[in-house]
Amino acid sequence: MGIFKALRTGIKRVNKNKKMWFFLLVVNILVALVLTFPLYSALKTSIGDSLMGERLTKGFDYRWYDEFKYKFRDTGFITLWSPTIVGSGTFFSNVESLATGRFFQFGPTILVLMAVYVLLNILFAGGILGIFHSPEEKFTIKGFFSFGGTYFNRFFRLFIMSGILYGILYFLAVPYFSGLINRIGGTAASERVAMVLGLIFGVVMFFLLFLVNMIFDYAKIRTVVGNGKSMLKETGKAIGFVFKNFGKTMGLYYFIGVLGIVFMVIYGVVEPQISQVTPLLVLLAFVWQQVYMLARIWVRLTFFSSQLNLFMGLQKEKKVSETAA
Amino acid sequence: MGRKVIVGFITFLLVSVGAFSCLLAQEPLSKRIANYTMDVRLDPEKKVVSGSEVLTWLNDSEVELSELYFHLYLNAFKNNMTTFIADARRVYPGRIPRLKKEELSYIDVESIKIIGEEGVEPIDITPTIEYVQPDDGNPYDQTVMKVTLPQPLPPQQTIKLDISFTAKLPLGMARTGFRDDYFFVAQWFPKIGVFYEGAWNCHQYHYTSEFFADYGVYDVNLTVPSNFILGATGVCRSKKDNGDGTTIYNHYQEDVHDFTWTASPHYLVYEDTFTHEYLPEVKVILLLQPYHKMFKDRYIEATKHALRYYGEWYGAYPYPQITCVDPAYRSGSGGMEYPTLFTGGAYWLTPIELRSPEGVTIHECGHSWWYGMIGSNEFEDAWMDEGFNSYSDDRVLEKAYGPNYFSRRFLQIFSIVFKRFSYKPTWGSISAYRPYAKLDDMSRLTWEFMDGTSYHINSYSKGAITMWTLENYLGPELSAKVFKTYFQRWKFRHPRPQDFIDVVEEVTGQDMSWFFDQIVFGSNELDYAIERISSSPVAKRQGYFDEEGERAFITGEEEGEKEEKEEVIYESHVIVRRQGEVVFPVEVLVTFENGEQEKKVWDGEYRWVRYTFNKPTRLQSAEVDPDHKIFLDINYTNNSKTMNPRKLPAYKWAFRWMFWLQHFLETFTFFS
Ligand SMILES: [Zn+2]
Repeated sequence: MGIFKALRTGIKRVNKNKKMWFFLLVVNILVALVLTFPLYSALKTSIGDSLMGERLTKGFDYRWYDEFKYKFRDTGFITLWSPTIVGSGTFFSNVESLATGRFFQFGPTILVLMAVYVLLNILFAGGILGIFHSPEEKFTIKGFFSFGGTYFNRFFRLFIMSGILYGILYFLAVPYFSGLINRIGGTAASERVAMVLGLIFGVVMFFLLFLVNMIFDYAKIRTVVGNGKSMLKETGKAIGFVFKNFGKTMGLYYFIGVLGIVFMVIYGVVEPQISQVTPLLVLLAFVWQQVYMLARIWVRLTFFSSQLNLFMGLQKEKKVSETAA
Repeated sequence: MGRKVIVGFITFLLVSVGAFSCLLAQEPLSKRIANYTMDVRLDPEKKVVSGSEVLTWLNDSEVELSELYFHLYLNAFKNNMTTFIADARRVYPGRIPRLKKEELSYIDVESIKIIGEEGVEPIDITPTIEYVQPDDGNPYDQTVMKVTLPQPLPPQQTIKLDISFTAKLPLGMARTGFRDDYFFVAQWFPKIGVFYEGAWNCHQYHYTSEFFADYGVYDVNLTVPSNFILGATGVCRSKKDNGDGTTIYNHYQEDVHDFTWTASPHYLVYEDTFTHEYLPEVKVILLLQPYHKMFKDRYIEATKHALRYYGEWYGAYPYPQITCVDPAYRSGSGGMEYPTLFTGGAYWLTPIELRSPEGVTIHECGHSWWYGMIGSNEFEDAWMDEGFNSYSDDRVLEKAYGPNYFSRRFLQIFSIVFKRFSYKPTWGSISAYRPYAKLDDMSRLTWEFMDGTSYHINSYSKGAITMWTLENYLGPELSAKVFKTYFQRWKFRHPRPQDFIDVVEEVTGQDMSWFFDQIVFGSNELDYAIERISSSPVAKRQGYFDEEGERAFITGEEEGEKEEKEEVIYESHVIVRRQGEVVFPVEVLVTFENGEQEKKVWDGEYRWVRYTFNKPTRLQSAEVDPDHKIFLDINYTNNSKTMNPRKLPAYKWAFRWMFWLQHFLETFTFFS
């Protein structure tokens, strides 16, 4: 089984399940709304019946922005709001958070929301893989939740196990390396050394995060395909599988990753072109945001679907070669 | 009188005026009170500068002086009990300077002698050396030295002192010291205090203070290893290889109040020339770290912008040369001004939109005016150099580079610039000022601010927005005249706040004490707001009315028919409120639905004012300070109200936030 075949059939299966995309998007929107309303009402309070409404319709006003942030400085998550999260800033902000663990500093409100969403998606991962692995490969709410329920307990254990590894990366590796960068950078002749080290660290960190992520994807896939009960065993076998087929597993993972980046670039190029000076244009921008979110969800589903194909394909080949021998 | 005679007379006049102005040109720019001839040597291994200085000092006062005061700034980093370090602990508790043995510094005056007439034996006054602490009495502080003269120095008499000293440099601290083989030597020699206003003004070195000194001539011989590249105040007049691995440089500069130099084997040296339609030519020297080669043009361009705009606005840069130093990484010497030399600061991969090193270059170069030529007392009136200069550099940045942009550094490496979201360079100052508006008066001894942030914000941020507010209040022409007049009148002297106020009042012909009393010598907030607006059709008459000797009862219905034909009159009210304690005259712009506008001027004295309008059109909006001139207004959002509020921006920004949140959540499904 080659990676492109795995990808092609994977995409086909994802595309067959459009209802699943929209279901995941709706859940994503609903959860995001929990913290969108408070920001909206803060904005409304601040702008009120002032002329800022006019000015902010046409453009941006630093003095208002600055006062807004100052007024709501004690509300925690609102202080995360800034023009630098707009457009491609969204991606830079979140990807950096992922690499450095900066999100841990985001305050309890946003972390609780994130935890809820992660838990929901542990449930959904079972639904997604269950449906993709079922003979009909067809999304129904009932089937989705029934698979989700079936695997939730096991996937939650995988989440704890992977969490330990991520924790080691965030709470041991990040401080250790930033300390090291500071020490080496501090005695270096120029700031470049620290920056290059930082870049190397960033690349290594991403590589490790992605590796852990991929291993646990396959652990989930194994669990669904083989109905495994011991998550420790499934993880061990997933590690074996990933390293035995290193080129293919990595190739597939990074190829889909690049697809994700392509979507980000397209979004980032188009978004600033929508001037958002009329309600219609604001709506258009909103729709474009949701189109991107669908693409983002599609990428996540494609990871599951294609990796499932790759795993099953390679298993089959293995069996064939074993019988042949 | 014949025509020839007249022509001859005019020619004579012109020649005399010419000759007179020639004479004027030879006049020193400053009253040269403190003049130094020095001969010093750098020992790069021991991190020591040693040698001697001959100080020729004029008692410019009206009194006899029997004591002289000197700054010994390097003693600030001698131990953990100095006033500087104690201040540091107090004002920035998180930032205690290092105190390792080899990193500390001190300066020892080995001997101090009065040089008399030729042939007369110098008088050794070394035994009279005493450390004094005029500011806090801290016995561990040795940053001020006092010597006693055997005979008082009469007014307008000059004294010549021969001082031998050894200065151990610190590891880069407070913009002086070394890092490996990089040396930035500032505040390094025994420097006489200023005797003015009838007393010695020679403060101890504080963590939040800068400096103050008299003008004079510096003639300095510097001996450094031959492989080192030297940069220093003034112009290099000679350079001689000593044949022992060292080279002696002579730097000379008239009419400056400090001397600073730097030496390192690694500098790249670039030279350029600033030229201008009517300003004098200036040689620009850039000493660049090799790893900052890509910033070469940006440094030079920014320096030229500063020379140009400050020159045009205030007065010409009078020295033949300016040296811009790109400081070594972590040398602690970046972003500082000295006469004819300043340090910038650059960070690899910084795009031009981030205005770095442009911002710091313009600021430090600009100090040639506000600090260099206007020799205000930085210990006591920090806003007079930092505030004026922050205001001026904001103006240059805006003129030369346009607005600032929002940006973020991805993984602390790559900068992403958000060109859609721009702002005026000075808005940052308003942002910094707002939370600290009421903490301290702007005019205060630098070490007496509540903390380092308050010192910084009052001197730089509030200083800048105060000058902007003044400019906007006076209007561009009058304001330009004020600053130019002040600069021209006070250059090479030591103005006090009142001197600036006097110039403002003279140029404008107005009493401006209300402005300075409240803003410079006070710490109240300025905040005007539109409290309420309303507009409704004038009510129909109802009730008893005595008209033409008869009393009629009107129900209101009678006029109904009439009104339908006539246009409806709206009674509109606007209440403007003073929410802060600062009283400031404000303009109020009232706009009606038919496009008509009325501008009212309110003295802003009472707590509020109501404006009532009866017009055949509904009120649309009202705004106080409609041209956004009062940068000191700490709440600008409450400056306006409209009858037709727009909801769109709240949706727009909420959707943008929501998208970020959606993506955030989706990103962290990574863990699920
Ligand atoms: Zn400054």
